[in-house]
Amino acid sequence: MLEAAAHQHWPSAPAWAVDAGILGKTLILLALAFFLTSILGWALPKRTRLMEVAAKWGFVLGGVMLFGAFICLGTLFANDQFEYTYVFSHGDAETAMKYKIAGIWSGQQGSFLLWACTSSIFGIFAARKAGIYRRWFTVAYATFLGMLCGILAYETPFEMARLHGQALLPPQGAGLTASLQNYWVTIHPPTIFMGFGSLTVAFAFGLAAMFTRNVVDWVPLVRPWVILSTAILGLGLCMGGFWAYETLGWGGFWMWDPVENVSFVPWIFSATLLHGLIVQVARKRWYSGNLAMAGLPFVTFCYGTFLTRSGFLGDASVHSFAEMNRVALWILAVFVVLGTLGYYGVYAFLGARLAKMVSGPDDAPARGVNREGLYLSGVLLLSGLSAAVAIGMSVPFFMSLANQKPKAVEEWLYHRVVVWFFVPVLIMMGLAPFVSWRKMGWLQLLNRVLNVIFLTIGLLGCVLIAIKFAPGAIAIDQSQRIPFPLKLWAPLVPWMLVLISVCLFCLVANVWRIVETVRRAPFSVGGFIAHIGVATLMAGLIISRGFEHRERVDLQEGDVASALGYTITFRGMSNQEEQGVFQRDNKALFEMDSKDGGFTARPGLYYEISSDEQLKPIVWPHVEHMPTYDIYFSLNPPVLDVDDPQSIPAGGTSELAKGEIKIKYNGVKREGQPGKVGTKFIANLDIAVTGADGVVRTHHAEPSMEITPNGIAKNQAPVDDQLAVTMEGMNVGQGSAMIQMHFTRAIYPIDLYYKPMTILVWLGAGVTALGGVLAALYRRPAKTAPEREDVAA
Amino acid sequence: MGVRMASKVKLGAVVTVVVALGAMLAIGFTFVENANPYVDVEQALANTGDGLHLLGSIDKKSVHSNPLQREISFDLVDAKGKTMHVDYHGEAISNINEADKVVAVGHVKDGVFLSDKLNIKCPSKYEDKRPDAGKPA
Repeated sequence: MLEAAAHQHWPSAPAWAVDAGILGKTLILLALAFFLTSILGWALPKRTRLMEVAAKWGFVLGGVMLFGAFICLGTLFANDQFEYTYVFSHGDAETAMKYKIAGIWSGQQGSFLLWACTSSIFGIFAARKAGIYRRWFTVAYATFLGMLCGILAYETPFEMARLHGQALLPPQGAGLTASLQNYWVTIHPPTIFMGFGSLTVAFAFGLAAMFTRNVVDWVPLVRPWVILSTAILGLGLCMGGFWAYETLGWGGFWMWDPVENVSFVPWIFSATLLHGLIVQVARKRWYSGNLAMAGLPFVTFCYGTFLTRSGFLGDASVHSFAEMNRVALWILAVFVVLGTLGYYGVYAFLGARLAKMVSGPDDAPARGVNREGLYLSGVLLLSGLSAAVAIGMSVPFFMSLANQKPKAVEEWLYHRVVVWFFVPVLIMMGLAPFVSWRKMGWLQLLNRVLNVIFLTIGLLGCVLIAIKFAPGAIAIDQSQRIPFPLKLWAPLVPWMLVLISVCLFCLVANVWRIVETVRRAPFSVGGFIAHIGVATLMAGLIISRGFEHRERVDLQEGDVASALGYTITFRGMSNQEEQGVFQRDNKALFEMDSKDGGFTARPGLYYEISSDEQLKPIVWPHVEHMPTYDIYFSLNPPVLDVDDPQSIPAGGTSELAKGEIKIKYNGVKREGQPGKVGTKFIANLDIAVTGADGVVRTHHAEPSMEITPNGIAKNQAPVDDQLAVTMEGMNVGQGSAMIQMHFTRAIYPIDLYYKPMTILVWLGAGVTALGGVLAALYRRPAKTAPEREDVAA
Repeated sequence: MGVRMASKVKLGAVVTVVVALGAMLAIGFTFVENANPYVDVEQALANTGDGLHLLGSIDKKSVHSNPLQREISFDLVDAKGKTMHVDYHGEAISNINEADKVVAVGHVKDGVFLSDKLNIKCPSKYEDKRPDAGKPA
């Protein structure tokens, strides 16, 4: 709690800011009213023209109100209005504008507002082209948005903190946690929330198709949105991975954390639905399956959101979740249950029957392969992958429901399960483009992909050569083994080659198909491009992690160390001003030289004063991107103290650094009168240090504590050219002293990683998104020529 | 013919559904079986396995870190108030002093919890300093 005296000097909150908060709250309530109007207007069986207009505009205006509320919140953040609890908790007056803006979505309430806004953008645009489905599409969509408004009304970001009934403006907010302050915090959340928002479209369309009793014509309408949704969500996921890679300091992209899984599961379901829709358009089949799948991305996302906010995963994730207000959580829980039961109830009683009525005869060829068969296997595998991850992330929840001790599902366990889905999925992504919708013999298929197989083998040979002739410092240890199921161990290199060859096959096959089709239908290649992107991304993840190399060095100021073929020299700090190490932009500079050239590593290092007055170092890794590899330079906080202070009784000894340093405390002597300025207490120490040559040298040292007008000064005493010592305190009653050993020059512990082909991860993410957007544009309803529907996607 | 086709399709669908459900059950079983339990001090002492997730808060005064050896040791206090000494050796962790709650992964040897992985949870920076709405200061 703040001291009463501190906020006596705070000014009153400006009137405009008080009004902005009231406006924000009102806009959310208005949005709720507009959505209810829209629901009522559309849902009534007998509607006048006026009611229909009101319903249409109610949906649009509800969205506009949400945006208005978002702008209100943004304005409060941009102008440091810390009288609002939410702004206080996530805002910072001294930070750059981009981080002030990012404060909006760094907490619970703001991120729900962002979710509501992005959902309504997609809703408004999709509703305009929803044709005969507009009525029920809007009803379903507005119900969801109304529920979000309900949560935002209960757990509002416009809550003002009043002290003694007064709205006072604190000068500073709590700010974004230091580890979040990175340019990705301004890019990644809006992108991934666009993806989350887009998931509602397929759900609402599916419901609308069933209520409208037409489960045929919705597919071309919903298809571009599903493609776009998959592309944006995929891009958002990749950005999250890049963010983790660049800031967390362990050099990985993905760790199967619940927060990641909550986005991953709906993304895969979205990709599954997208392929199901292709079959329906091309083959006039899968009506029922697609209806069932259309609900999954949204339902699983809502479930995941509930799970992460409920506190059930509290101990299973490295992310700290703010638990939701209980009322808001109940609204969400009820919505998840009602949404799921509602959707699948309507599906069971209505959708499945409607689908059966329109399904054509089963004319699937009995022998050989056809594209539909491969799509079916692909869809089943992807659903399996998604369901597996959903099960994994729900384990702590299920176990606590069953009153069992919660358990943690860790990264390695996910890896072991999901690999069995990824490998066949990648193979199918390579095979499917070569198979026609009509019957095709296995031999015929083999004939078509033979060239691809040969090319893959050729490229694999190149990879082998690269592994064989990798330079000394980064040579791959060919005896390494990795754990396999059933307590087996697989040799690393052959297993990696299997995984790489699967990615290569998928990549080559899709490039081949692009070359074949690009002249005939240049805009139809979006799907192939997306597949190439996925294969590239997977290859990047596999190679950069599997063939990673890591070395550790402890570098002392002025010394030179070597690791991974580099000579490393510490050059000092980038910010030369006094107090420069307290500036956020301060970097530690390390010269990295190798025979092939070098670079300057600039890991971030600055200090904050923590709430308990301690110096708190904050570090960021440096990533040097090279064409074929990354050097990941992870700096750990510099070390100045040999160990913690040692309490030593007079005449006693203490050992440090595994016995290499022995301190003998002979007692203390006083110079001057007790309590007078200038009085010194001098410790008499004998310190035995075992040198690098194994010789023990004993040094005498006399650190002291001195009473000065500004308090007690601790005078450091040199021990040798590496070490110094201070007395940190005394206990007169026990006759003991607190002795602290220091390094004369700070030691920088560095973890250096060599990560080959990380560039593929970036490239793959970009290519996948590009392919997705191309495909979505190509499938826009207005421009889709019916005769083109059988062109491979 | 039509009837035969329909029954064929249904059989195929039933087999698919059964296989899919079986696979999901197997995966669920694998996850639950291989997942590592969260334990408190008492359970940790009773459990001989590796990969235990010991959950509790850090006794800040007991934190003793040696970044050069990538070692941190501290006393962990569980929800029941029981204390256990944890020796951690692994990736360097810079924000141990900010940590509020911690999950140490590892096993027990001679009454000490040896850990190679620490999951740190940090509270919002100034959580305890929020202006207290409506209450007398």
